[in-house]
Amino acid sequence: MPVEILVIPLIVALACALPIGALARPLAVLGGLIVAADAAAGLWLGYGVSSPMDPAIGSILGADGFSGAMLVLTGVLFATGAAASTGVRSPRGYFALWSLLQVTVSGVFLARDLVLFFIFWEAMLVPLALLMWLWGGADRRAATFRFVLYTMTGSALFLIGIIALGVGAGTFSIPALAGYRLSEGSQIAFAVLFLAAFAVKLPLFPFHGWLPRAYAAAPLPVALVLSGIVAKTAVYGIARICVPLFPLGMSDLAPGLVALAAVGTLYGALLATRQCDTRGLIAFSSLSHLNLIGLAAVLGTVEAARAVIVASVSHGLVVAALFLLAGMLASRTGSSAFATGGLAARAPVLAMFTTFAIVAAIGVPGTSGFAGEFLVLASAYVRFPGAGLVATLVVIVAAVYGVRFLRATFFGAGAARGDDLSRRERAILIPLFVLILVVGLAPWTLTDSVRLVTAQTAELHR
Amino acid sequence: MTTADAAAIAPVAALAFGACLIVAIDLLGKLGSRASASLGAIVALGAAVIAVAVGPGAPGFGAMVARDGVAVFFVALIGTVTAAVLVLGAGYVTRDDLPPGEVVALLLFSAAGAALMASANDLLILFLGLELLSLPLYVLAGLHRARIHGDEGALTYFLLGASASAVLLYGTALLYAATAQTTFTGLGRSTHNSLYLAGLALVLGGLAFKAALVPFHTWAPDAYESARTPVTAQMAVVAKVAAFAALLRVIAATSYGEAALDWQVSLAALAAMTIVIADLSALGQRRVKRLLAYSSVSHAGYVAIALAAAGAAAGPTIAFYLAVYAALTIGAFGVLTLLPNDDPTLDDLAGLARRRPVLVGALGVFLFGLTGVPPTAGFIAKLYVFEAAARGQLLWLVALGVLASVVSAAYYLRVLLACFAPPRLDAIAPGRARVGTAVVVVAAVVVLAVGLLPGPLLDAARTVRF
Amino acid sequence: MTLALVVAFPLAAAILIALAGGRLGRRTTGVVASLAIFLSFGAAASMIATMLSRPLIEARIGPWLPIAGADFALVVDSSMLAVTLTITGVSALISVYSIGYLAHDRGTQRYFAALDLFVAAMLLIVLASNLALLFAGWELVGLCSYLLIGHVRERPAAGAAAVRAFVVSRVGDAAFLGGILLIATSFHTLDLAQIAGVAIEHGNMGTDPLVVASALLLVGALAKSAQFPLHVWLPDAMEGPTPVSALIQAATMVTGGVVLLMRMRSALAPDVLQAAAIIGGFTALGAALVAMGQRDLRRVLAWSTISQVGLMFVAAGLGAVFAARFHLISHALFKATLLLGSGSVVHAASDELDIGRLGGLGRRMRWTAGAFAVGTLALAALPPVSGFFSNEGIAAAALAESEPFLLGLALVTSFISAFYAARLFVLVFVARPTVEREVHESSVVMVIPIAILAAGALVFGGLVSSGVLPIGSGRADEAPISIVAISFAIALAGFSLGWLTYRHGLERARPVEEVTGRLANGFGVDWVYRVTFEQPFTAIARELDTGAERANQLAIDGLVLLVRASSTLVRRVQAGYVSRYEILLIGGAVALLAYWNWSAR
Repeated sequence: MPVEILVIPLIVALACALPIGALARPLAVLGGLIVAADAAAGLWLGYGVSSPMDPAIGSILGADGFSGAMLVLTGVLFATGAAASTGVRSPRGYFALWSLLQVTVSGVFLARDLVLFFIFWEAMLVPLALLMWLWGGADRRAATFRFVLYTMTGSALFLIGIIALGVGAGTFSIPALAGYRLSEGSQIAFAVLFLAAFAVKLPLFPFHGWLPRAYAAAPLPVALVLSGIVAKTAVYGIARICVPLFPLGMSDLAPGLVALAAVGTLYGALLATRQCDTRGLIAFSSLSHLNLIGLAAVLGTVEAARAVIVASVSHGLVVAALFLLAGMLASRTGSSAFATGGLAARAPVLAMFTTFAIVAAIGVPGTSGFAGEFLVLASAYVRFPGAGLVATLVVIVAAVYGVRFLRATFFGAGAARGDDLSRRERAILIPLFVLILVVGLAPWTLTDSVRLVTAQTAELHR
Repeated sequence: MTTADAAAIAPVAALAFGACLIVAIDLLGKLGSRASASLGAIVALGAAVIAVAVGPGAPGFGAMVARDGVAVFFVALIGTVTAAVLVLGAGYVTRDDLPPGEVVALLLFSAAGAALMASANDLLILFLGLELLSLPLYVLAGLHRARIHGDEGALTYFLLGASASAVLLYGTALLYAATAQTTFTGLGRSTHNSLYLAGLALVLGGLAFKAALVPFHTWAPDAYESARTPVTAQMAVVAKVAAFAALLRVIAATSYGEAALDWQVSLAALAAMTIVIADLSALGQRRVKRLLAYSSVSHAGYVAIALAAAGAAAGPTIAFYLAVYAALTIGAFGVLTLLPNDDPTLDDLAGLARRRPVLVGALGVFLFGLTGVPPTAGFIAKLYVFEAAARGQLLWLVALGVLASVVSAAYYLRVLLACFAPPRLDAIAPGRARVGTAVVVVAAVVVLAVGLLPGPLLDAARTVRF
Repeated sequence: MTLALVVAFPLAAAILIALAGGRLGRRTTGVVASLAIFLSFGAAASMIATMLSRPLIEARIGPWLPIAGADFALVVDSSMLAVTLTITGVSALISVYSIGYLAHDRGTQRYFAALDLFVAAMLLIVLASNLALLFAGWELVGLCSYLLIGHVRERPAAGAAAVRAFVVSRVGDAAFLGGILLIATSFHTLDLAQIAGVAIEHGNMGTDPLVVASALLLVGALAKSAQFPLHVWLPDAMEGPTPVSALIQAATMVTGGVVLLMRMRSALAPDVLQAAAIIGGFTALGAALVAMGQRDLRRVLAWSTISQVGLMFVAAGLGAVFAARFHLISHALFKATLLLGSGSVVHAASDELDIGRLGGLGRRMRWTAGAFAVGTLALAALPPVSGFFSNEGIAAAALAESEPFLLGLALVTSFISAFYAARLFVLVFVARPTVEREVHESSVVMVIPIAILAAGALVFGGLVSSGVLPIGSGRADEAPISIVAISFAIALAGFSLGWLTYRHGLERARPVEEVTGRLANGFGVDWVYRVTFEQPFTAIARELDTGAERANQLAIDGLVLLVRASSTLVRRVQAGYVSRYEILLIGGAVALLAYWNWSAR
């Protein structure tokens, strides 16, 4: 079952070697949609563990409800991003790398072996760096270098941890390692090494140095998946590797991590209120949301696992909508700086859609943003009410940056240019909005299917 | 000469005879560059095939020349690499109007020396191999008729190489004085006295020079830069493989029994210094060959990590690493041989992506492989090294190595990204070298294939045991 | 299921209108929106009969969040049914009025979609059976108020007011959310009935986390109900279209806090309830004082709303739920009358808001003036209008709970309210106009809702007080005749004083105005809000941006520089001198040699 999730985008990538030109984009969209449908089917029909890859490393692929939800999101976001990648230079190269990125991201969610996990984890960097560098904006050079070196440093520590752990335990299999008993001290040490990679890629405050420039310089669809799904690989890593493998260590580290995440949640939101650029706004609001997700990811309870899934999917959908809208705004005003206002008069539908996306981003009930935020905070309050209260303040700050942006863009005297959303632009956004509402009104569609796996996680935690 | 003797020396002999043959044919009637290169490549590949076909068995010449798994693997590797270098060099020789027969013969001679080093089970044979390896390389390094700078680099290489040979020879002499014999097997049975230890230290120094470990690496950047690129590839790969093979044998001979020596500290120190200094030095380089020179120094450091951690037991790890390194380095230098400029700077790479996308794709694979990014074989190779280090309780070296890989990403990435810069107007378009491109593409495929399915190469590397 | 329909009608209309876009037509949109609320009112009314046989009607629609109790489920008892009827009824009339008021507006569709959503959200606050759903309504109310206050997007002041309303509302939301989550961790459920059950069973739940939780819920209520010190958004909110103000202040939103106190009273810590009453009392008095000096017609009404809701807080905090509910409904009726009436005035007088420049409108706008008069009497708490009865109920409650201090506050407030109510009415409708202008009565579609509301305000108090009209469980505290007499006397005194003072227009009352005008800036609370909240907020954000974030970025740059510097240093060695290389080579060999010999020892 899970193998085709890797094979389909790989076929798309290889097909880009053929002279297919204009077909590359629809093919990439189709690849994403098929994967999303396939993963969704797997999510509700149940996953099995699949074929061993190479006995030399003893790697296996497999998916459960958690990875299933993430894979659905992967498919949706890659399809959306591909759909939004219109008019790129050398489309074949672009979509080949794009699909390779999809392969590696999916691989992270499928790997049931630490080495394989790391292979996919690190291989993500290659297409990401190239896409950022070759198709990026003005600051792409410095942004790419920062991103690659920063994340590689984190991965380096992760690799040290993997090797030390695997050599000590005699296996790299994640399920097998979950049953391996380590002393509390070494659990802490390993957890720190593993977290180095996850904290940078998430990014957990204060390891977000690469984030603002990468979000600003990456081509828009790449920024979309970078925030929407690549960051989720870190969440996944924390919740599905650190917590089950090092329950005692994570439990000891939790106070510090939760404190950082709570501060980061607030910090990102506060900085978002200072941005005068849609990319910057999305960057810091994402920082805030991702830290909030990270807060739940380190907790390790069943409730927290559910919250992480809902919040991750929600953030992926919302940030995708925001990036798409940022692109549409930029195409009307000529830059990603906040418009000088008054756009609502010319483009009422754009105003409505943007308002909806912001409403979802700042977590108003009915949208997925609220469901995620509420569940995350609810799980946080059980053990860390203080940090929970601090993180709750984000409700206020988010309102500030959200309405500040809307006011700057849409309020005021009528703008000179800017047409309303085209049919195609609406067609990309509306499915995302529907999903945002579905997750917001019925988050149990995601969490019910992972009841099994979260119960297992909890079992391991004990 | 017994059958065992013949079997042990067969690949070396094949290489040497092949070289002589080519010189002879060249004397009789001028061979074209392509013909001589093809012939040379056949000889080199033939030597590799012979090594594998004959397979491991009893040593020859009174146990002075080994025919074990170590020898077979490394000789086969040396033969294959030399063949690739010869093919890559063919177009080069024509362009620069070099004497084709001589170049091919010299390369084959150096390969013969390297093969002899890899099979040497005796200090004198080792020295013989080393000289046979080095002397042709000195000549090849100076093969610039019109360039003064090239001669300077060659001179540096020769002077330092001579010193290193002297160090090795002096070490051999001290060891003979201490143990009254020159075989490796005899070394292991000796006792520790100052003379013996001093001798071993000097032998280690001599081999570290050929392997380009810091602080014995100083020749590498200058020599690599000044030599013609195919020759550079030969220096960077064949010489290094031979040096590590020999080092592995020396260590194997001295780490068992009552007089077992602890090599760990000195090798770990060398490895650490090598990795740090090489990576830092490579950071600011704008000349690609110089940059790759430091890269090859740094990779020697990773091999040394495995040696430090596991000693002779690191054979399979080192063999795997060196094979992958050979493919990566041959590939990277191979791309350079196809460029119009022999000593390109990063700026000279501008526009390559548009003109030769296949080459840049392959170069990307090599550079990511050299960095150690999955899914290339470079990652698997480093992973095994780090795993060995972790088993050997050298976690600090793992940390250092892994972090140094991050730094190395900075300079490797710059090379790749330079290819994507907009082309300069005055740039000379690279010619279409079909054969050279084919070699490069094959190397890239090998790198990816081994990265995805390391099993077969790993099985082969497992034969490198004592 | 009828219960579900109560919420579903306006919600469905909101979605329909939003999706239909401009295709529905301006007038049809308004009709659909109003019809949906009327249907909701009808559905609620149809439950009255059922209510007679059952104490509670419940409707579980489906699961929502994977947390105990957080489902889509509604519940209603007779008290909340009365509130529901008030909300839907008043909102429906406001919606009808809006059709006329916004006849020339370009964004009708946006407006009515938000309006219907607003009503649905408010109904969630009243009807939700658990805290999660209640909070959903709570937040959506804030969002809708933002959308509606900022409806006229071309006006910068409207944008600023909308932002402020939303942000302050979210301050309360954050506190409320914190309170809910603390309760969830203590009670392990969000279901209101279960929480109340546990709270009653265990007696006084004055444990620390619960005190904190209660306090946070109170902060949420203060923000939503515009009570001190979180009232700052309401006066500005008048920048929105007038029917929006009516909706916010009469039918929805500001009463949310009172509803919360009523629904949660058994779970809240007693000290916190006490605090609610005291804050309410002070707010009532303070806001009334501020209202006295306002020159802007709508701001007078806004401050009076703050003041009147303060009285409801007094009652709810004292546990006099019936009195609070009574005043809530009666206030909804008369405040809607006043606000819609003021809208008609503003509409007629070409957007003139300064009551000093209005005047003499009574003769030209008879219907509006009549309705406004009823509202004014109610605000002044004079019989026989509803305000008299409900105000008296609060005074009686304060007396019954032996809170002389709060009683005093309520009475003084009542005096001042009567005073400024008279001032407002006299200046707008009676006094000689300072500026002559063409004024005309509003269209029928605007007058009829006002008339209905005024009629309601006129008779409602009497009907309830005499027991003819039930408004849910509980009953009013029996007011001693002395209190009735005293409060009547006070209200009458205030009203007469106001009438006499302003009889001849603002100019003649200049000495009084100078005193009251000093209070008009709201005791500088606006300034305090800016200094204690807005400025620190921006300062912190700025410091983080220029300080912490810069440092973070510089740290990375520094690291890169460090590596680069060491690279330069190392490369110095490789300068091309053979002698130096030889030294290194030999030195290395000697070092190895030395080490081997040393370690062998």
